[in-house]
Amino acid sequence: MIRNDGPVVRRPVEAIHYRVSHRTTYRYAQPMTDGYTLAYLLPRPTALQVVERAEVEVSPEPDERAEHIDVFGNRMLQIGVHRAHTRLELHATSDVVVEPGVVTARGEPWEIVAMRIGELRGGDALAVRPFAGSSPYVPLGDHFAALRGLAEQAFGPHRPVVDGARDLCHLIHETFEYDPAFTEVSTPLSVVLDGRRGVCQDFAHLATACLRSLGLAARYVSGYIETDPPPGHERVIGADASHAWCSVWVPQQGWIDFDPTNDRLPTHRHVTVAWGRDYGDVTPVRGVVIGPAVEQALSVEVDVQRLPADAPTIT
Amino acid sequence: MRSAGELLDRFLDDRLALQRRQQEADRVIAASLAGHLVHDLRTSVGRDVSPNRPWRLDPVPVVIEHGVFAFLADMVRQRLLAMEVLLADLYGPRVAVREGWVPAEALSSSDHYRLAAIGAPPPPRWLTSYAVDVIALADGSWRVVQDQSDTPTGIGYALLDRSVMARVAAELLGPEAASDLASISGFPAELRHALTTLTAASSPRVVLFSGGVEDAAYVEHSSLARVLGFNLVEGPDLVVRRGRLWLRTLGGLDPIDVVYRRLSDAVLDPIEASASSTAGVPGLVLATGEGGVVLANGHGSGVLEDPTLAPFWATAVEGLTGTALTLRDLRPGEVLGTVPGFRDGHVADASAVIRLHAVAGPDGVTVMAGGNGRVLNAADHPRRPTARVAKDVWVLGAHAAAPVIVAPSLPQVDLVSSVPTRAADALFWVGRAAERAEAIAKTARVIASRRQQDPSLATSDGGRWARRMAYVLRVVRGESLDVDPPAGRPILALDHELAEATRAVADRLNALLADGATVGEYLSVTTSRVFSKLAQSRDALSDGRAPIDVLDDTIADLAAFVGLWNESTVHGPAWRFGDMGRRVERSLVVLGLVDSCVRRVEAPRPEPPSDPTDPAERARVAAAVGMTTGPIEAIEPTEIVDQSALEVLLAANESLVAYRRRHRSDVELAPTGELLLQDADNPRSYAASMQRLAEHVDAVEWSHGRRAVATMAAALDGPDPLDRVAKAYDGVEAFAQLVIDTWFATPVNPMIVRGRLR
Repeated sequence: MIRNDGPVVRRPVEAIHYRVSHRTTYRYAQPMTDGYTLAYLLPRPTALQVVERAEVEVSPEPDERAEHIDVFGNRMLQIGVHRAHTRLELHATSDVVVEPGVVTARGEPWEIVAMRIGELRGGDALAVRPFAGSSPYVPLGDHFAALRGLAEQAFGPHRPVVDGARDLCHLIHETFEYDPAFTEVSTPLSVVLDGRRGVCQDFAHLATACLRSLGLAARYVSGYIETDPPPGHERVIGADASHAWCSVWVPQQGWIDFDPTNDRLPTHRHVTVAWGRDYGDVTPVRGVVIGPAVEQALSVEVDVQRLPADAPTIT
Repeated sequence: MRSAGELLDRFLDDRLALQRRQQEADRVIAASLAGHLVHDLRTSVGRDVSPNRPWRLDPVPVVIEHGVFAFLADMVRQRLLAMEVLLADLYGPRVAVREGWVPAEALSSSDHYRLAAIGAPPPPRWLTSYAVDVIALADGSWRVVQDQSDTPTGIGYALLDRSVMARVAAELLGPEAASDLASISGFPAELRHALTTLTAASSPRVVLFSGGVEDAAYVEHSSLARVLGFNLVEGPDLVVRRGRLWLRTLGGLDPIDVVYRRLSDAVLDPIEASASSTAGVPGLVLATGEGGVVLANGHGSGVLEDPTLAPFWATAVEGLTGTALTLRDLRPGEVLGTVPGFRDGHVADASAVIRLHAVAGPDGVTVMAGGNGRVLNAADHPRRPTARVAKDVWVLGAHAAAPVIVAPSLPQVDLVSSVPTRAADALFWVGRAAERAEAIAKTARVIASRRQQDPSLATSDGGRWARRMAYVLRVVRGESLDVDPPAGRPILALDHELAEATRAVADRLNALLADGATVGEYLSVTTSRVFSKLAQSRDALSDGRAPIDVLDDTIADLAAFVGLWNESTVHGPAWRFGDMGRRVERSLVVLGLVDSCVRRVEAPRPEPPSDPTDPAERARVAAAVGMTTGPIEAIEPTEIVDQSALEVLLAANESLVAYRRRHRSDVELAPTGELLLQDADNPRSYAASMQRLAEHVDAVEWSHGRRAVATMAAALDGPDPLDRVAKAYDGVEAFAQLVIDTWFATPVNPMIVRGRLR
């Protein structure tokens, strides 16, 4: 996601209707004999989001196709292409209605929240506590002091948890540079911390890590964001991108989303697809291909289009 | 009956016996670990690498009285069943997490906790095989060091250790008391029975899934596969289709019912989120969830091994089952007990961790009356012994009922559908490498000894003999008819080629050992000893300066390998593909040798001097073409050279005696060609190889191959077969490629692809 510096829409808004198109294409220099793909491309319904329609077209026609619900409740698509192919394309389209969320509460002091998380039992323990520890892309142990130090700049003693999370996003936005050239998919958090730059995925991981270093529970959220064209330019279809942000758990409130890349609380311009402990749990498209070790080219086109309120839903 | 203490005291008093037993153990283990040696030295041919000995066996066993063992066995039984309850909960209702006995954040942080297994249909049983490391404290009480629930290792090693120590037992206990030592030989049958009853399928297909020869425990995998009678398979052998797991065999895809996995949870399925390698099978975890195949142990069972979670298990088990675990975990500061041992020639006491193995089957839990003892160095954490010293574990005075031997209901290894494609592929190349190594070694051996016996031959006739022999060596090691004739002074060229041939033997031996190590279960047990000797020969030959007697050793050991191959291997398809490799290579060898002995070889055409006026340049060119000894020459048959070359040709093919019996004359070209090419009674001949190939392609019902062999066999029919040798050679090479393309077309390794967010 490119950093969106356009004016924040401040006027109260109705539920907004989006049509998202997300096309992922792999091209191989020589035919692959076999391919297995897992895709997190079908948006899940949330408290503020109704998914009216979602589908993934796969080309070539897959030999196997199944949908599963994963442990976090996300929709996972499993695809198998078991014959020679030099290209694999997954084209996801979805119609989603997003209601603006309003965050009014500031929450309790973060120390209290952290304590409450450790005391959660029953279903809450299963729903919240797994997001309070390390995960493969968010390893706390190695950089605990640095993460905690960063977090404490935003979370002073007794700072209400929502205020702290807001400040943390602001801090990351102000002190880390958005730089798509700096990181790649496997760049570890330590490099982002040292280089003080990265992309949305890195900032979501960073914010998640900081929150967890305080003992708070934070999720990694994968989805899309509506972007505005640069001033004076037409909207370019396909120029959008997948996006990622994070979500923090607040007692009595539930999960509240924060977008450190754009320094804002996601309201109505974010479309949620899936969430997990980190990127690894909800990678939009991943898989294994079997064939000669040749070059592969990946192209991704994302378009988030706002539909008029009265636009008919495609069925 | 004598007490354990008395027995050990007696044994420890006899230093000489200990020394002798240590040497014996070292030797047996070194021999049985040929696979390991191959692995460690594979990329280091030519370097001086001292043999890596993964462990040494202490000739002094750990002796456990029956009463103590009965207590430990009850403990293991209880613990296994309790751990199954715990696993069912951790991947099911997660009561232990809800209650806070296991902190959710710690659990979800664990690399060993498999998210994909949560809520998936549970396996028919979580822990078919289980092991636990225990240690005795100084006060005689026992503590748990760690659980082994993912791929418990050591059953195969325990059997191996016992085979070494059985002799010690006879010596120590005396024949009349030998029955005091509880047997462990029935344990694999228990494991086999437990695995085959994991599924309702009436004649289940079970495979042992290994990470392959790179896996540190591959020696055990290979020996267990053999003992259990299961196919040893690797990732590329398996494929998931339509929610089921299939084995790629020579007969196509064959469904698998049960996987005895020796591959960790974390690498089972490369498309799983946190998979760390491509060793596994894409889609396997989902297929398991859909009930398409049973994994033993269940996917996710490795979570019990996470040392950061282990402190929570006792509380969770007690909460879930209402019963506390019998044995407490070892805590820091507890004083460990010691047992006597023999190290570096001295009797010394040391602490030892003991791994106890159990198998859970339909009839309950069976605990092996033995185990793996591992010696600790002074500063070692008991989880990680650094001393690579193993101890056999004896349970005495059991008089236990004889182990129940369950009649195996096994897939036969002589069905086309039971041989993994990869295994047939490897055996084909084993056969080729063995045959080629032998051919190069014999040719080099014959030529080198003639050069020694008759020094004048090397320089006579302007060096023609030497040049011809150098050319012969070059063809046989180059594995092609199209090699350049050797340049330079003939005698130097010959010595150079002899050294190169020696190196080429080492190279082919290396290929033989590397491929052979991956198909150990198709070779007889004794083969590993031969491999171990061939590995020594390979190391001796790899610098090209080996004396003739090393070549003799190699030739003898290769003959031993081939003898075992023919006499101790089931003559099913696996054997047939290996033998096809041998016959293909033998055909190429005999054609190549005949051609290289009789062909008129064009003189080398060196690059002209770049500057004819430069004396150094002129000298370089002169040296390159051997001008120091005469004019530029072709290799042409002359009487003496001809005669000698033919003798070498016959000797290298072990046909000289046959020739002399049949022909009273000197060696002549036409009858030599007849004997080596067309005489089907000569097992070294091209015609004999063609007959064997025809049998093999018939046996595997390969009609296209049958026609190809018929065409190949007819290539030399008719008069003047010598003129058609090169064409026949091309035909054999094409046939070899046809075998590879038809039977062994296997995918290359999978690679992981991932998108990226911006």
